[in-house]
Amino acid sequence: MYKEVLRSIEGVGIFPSIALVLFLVFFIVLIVYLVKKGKSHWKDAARLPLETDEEIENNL
Amino acid sequence: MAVETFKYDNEIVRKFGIATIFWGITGFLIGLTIALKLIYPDFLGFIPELSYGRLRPLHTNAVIFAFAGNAIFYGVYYSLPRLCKASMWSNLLSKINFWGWQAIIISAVITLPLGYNTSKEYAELEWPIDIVITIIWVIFGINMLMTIWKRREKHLYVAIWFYIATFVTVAVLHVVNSIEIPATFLKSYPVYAGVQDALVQWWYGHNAVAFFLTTPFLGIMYYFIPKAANRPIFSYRLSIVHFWSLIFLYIWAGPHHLLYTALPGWAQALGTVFSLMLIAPSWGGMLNGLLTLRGAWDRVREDPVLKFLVVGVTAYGMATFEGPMLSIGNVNAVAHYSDYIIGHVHLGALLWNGGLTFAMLYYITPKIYKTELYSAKLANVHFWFATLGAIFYVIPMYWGGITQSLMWKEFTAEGVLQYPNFLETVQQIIPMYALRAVGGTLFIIGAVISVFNLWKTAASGQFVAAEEDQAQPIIDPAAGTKEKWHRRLESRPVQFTALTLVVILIGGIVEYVPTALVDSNVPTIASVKPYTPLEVEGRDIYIAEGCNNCHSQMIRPFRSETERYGEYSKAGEFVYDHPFLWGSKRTGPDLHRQGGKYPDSWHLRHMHDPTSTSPGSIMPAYPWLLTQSMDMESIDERIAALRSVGVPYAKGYEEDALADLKAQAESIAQGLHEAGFEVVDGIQITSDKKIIALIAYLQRLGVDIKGNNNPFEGLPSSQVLGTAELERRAENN
Repeated sequence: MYKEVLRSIEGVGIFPSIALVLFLVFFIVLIVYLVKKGKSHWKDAARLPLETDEEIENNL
Repeated sequence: MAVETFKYDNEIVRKFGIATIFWGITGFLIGLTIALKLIYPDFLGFIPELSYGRLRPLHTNAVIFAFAGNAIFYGVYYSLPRLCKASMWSNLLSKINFWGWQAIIISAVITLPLGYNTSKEYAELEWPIDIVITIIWVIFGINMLMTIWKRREKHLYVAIWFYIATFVTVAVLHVVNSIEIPATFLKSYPVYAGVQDALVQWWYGHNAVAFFLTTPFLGIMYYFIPKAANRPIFSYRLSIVHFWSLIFLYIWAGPHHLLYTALPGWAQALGTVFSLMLIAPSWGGMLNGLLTLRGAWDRVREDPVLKFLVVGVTAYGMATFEGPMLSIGNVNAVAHYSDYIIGHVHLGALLWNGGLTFAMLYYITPKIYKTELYSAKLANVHFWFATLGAIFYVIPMYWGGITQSLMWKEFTAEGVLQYPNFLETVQQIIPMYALRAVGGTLFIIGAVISVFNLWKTAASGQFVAAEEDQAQPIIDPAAGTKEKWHRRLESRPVQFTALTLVVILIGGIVEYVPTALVDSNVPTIASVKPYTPLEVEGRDIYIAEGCNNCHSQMIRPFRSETERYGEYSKAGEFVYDHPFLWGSKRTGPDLHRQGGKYPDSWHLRHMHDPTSTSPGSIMPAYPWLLTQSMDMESIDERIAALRSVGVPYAKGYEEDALADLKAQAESIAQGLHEAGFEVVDGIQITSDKKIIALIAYLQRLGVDIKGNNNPFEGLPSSQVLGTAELERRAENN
């Protein structure tokens, strides 16, 4: 049955592929960026739930 | 630089906490009730409002939306202001959120037992309540987003991303899945039919698990594990990857609930592939949570909060390993429709959602009462009751589910079914049902212990309704523009929310749009006709009684199923099914080819007392179907509503519907009388009773493809239905 479905919509198979490729690109760029920036870049952010009286740096 | 002083509203947190535990125990007790009904079908007698089919949706809704729902608000209203260094934007909206949500729950407690439900799992509430849910959810969202907007901490901590994704996605899911045309005040029909309805429903159903039972709890995990362990999350970078990959992949996985059904193959394949990929972000998140405790494991031994968090996250890991495995075709073929799935969801609900919720209750209560937990020892006792209870629940369900499923599939050497009598496979697993009830009871005892402990904790402290805190305001909102990319995004709530919306829409659109366009292309089977008015009434009774909670209407293309039930189900057979009634578990046999299998009198006797036709059956009796009158008054409105969602009844047919209904009912009643069933157990069988309509519907099930019968033949209306429309469709085909 899915063949009839596919046939009925021109190029339906390409939609998931495009979406997937777009997201993969986003994902790979994200990982490269995260690795490049290093762990310390997010050290302050990770401590947020633990912040109590410490000064919070708002002017990034 | 001026430091501002502001207050956290602990009153709303306390309210949601009390609601969480109250509705939690209520939901668990309803669960125990229906568990007992499967062992003792006559438990509580045969009262319509307390029958299994009506209570099961109440149980699932209570646990998901009342227990976990209030727990989500509990966690968000506690953690969000603290992470934003700001009060909630509007205490009034917080209150409306709270009371509105409780009103929704109470309306569910009233309407579901009365038989008002849409039949769509975890979306059973009828249309007026759907509208209220939308309003209250949006109020919650506004309050949350405005708090974020007015925050004093520039950076949005990862927990907040999960909260944002929860709000956005649940809003989309709820609205799309609830598009329905009202027929009467508490009855509606979805605009989608059959295959489409199934796809939309399980896109919703699966993502209700994802974005109601997972993402908010991941946000809670990211806040409370660091808090309880007093150390930052293991890897913030991992949490970024975790977030985006999880929300992107989850939304595609819905079709794994429909493997081997009449759903188009490509959609099934997408569902499987994305479900398998989902294990990566799920386990990434789990490991991120657990590894945060590196070097602090000694404290897990002492601290009940950490214990519940650890068992919760571990159960999450197990459940999210199972999920992808269950999405693989041949595993799904065995597990689907069986109690294995019930075990799977309870692993998640009892330990993941339950574990995190109890961890929050044990963490927050002493904090807002400025005291210590009354008894860590009692909390540990609760922990063991909860964990052992869940194990005693889940393992028997796994065992029973696989046992029964394999019995369904067993052939003899001669090539016939080894267990042709479905009941034999049910009887086999009754001991497992009994063990499950034991597990559930243990879990409930644990929860009751927690109430005592929390109560004593509250009594020993002094409640701080408004907790003061100080922080600098954000001086320059434009600051940080030098930051690049994701780090910049992390302090831009609007852009973040927009991107989240785009990411979660992709999967839904790609899967749904082709199926929607397919509408006229689902191979229409010319002999498949709309239901007659009496059958519509019968179908509505089937829905009201929740028959779909135990019976599927979807025969998968396996020899074991076609041997047992008949020809497998085709997509084209469901084009007039608003809503679809494929079901998701088989406590009883599939009913798709039920039509014509037994005489009308069999159904009459079976509904009155299932054991009279099927000795040993655990199906509840439905004596009230023989005494209650069917709803004839609104049949015209229902026919009109069905036409407006696309069923090709001729224009004006609603005027003739009642006459058709009566004529068909009369002929069925007459047939029963002729067969000697004028009186059953002292009850006079007349043509206006619900049982007559239900029989008409059951006898219609799955018969259309067997021949070119016209179900409207012989009925008074001459217009019948839009025959022209049907012929046109047939020609196009």
